[in-house]
Amino acid sequence: MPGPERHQSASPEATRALARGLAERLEAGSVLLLFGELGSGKTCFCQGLAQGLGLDQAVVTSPTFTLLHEHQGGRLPFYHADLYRLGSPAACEGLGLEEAFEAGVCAVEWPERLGPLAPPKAWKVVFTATGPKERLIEVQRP
Amino acid sequence: MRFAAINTSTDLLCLALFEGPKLLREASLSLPMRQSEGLLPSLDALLKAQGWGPDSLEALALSLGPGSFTGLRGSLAMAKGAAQARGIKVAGVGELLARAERLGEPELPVAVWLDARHGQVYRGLYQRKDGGWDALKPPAMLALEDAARELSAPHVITGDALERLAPQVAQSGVLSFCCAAEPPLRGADAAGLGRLAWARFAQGSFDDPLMLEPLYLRRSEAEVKWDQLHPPARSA
Repeated sequence: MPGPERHQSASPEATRALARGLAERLEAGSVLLLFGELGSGKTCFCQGLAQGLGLDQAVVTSPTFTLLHEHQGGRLPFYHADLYRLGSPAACEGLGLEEAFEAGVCAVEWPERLGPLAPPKAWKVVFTATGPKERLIEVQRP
Repeated sequence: MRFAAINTSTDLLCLALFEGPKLLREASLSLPMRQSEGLLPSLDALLKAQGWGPDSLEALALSLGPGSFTGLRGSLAMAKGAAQARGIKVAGVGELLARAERLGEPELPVAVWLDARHGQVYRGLYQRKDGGWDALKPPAMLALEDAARELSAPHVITGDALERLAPQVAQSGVLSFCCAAEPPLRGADAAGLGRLAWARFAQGSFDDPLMLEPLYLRRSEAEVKWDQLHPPARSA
């Protein structure tokens, strides 16, 4: 497998633009696992994905407290999950996450919680802060 | 007695209207992750098409799964609300049995294999008996290989695992002596569910709506934790 694509993002807008471009390469059943600390750009990235799928980016907010947001009306249904508050894979299962994985494009923040439920064929995106606004974004295709 | 059968155990929303044992109208819509949203408008449309008002339903038959977590919760919540508000009676039917019922009157026993993901299946084993069904084993979640190993004699096999786990099914060798159900009969429906429920309704048998739960066959983390924190009281 080729190594990850490495992107330097200078701003939240650049992160969104990167995700907008990536969205064109996604299809129903695409799952993106987003790894990175709080504030590392994961939600910005999801806003770009939403835009790229033809949705209004303004409706994309962090689902930390609601666990799973569903956005319809774009090229594909877009599911945005944040598992930060979940304790274990079993809790992810009760959320119906595996159904979301199959129904559209699904972006998962804090995917470490998925454990064995993490789909083997997923995009892995790793966010690292390299400055106040600068981020290193590494994208590994499935 | 007029009743509706509702099956949200897959990404289909399946509805049927019955007058006693007679199926009058049936509809299936593909609504992945959105069955709850579509349920009431679709049921309403079906009732209108039949010329029935919302108060004409005396009972609801529901699939209890196993299947879609979000789908099952949606239809059970709706039925519980209808039972509370309108006194509508309910009966839950296991989805594994409902899939056997779809096959009609097979002479062979039926093995139902529903994909439970991660190489596992929800398994039911049934045999026709006196117009009803005998469960040969309690429903369980098993690795596909174990479900295949159980079958030493010919069975009809049905369920979506035949497609979704096709390589493993082929590898298990069961299809050398078992037959696979016709593809159009392998999925979820509401008509078979309604027939099974009618067998109960006709005898005045219903479920307590407040106690009705989805049949997940695997427990959610919340339930496991609850039981750890609330061990059953010892009887005196």
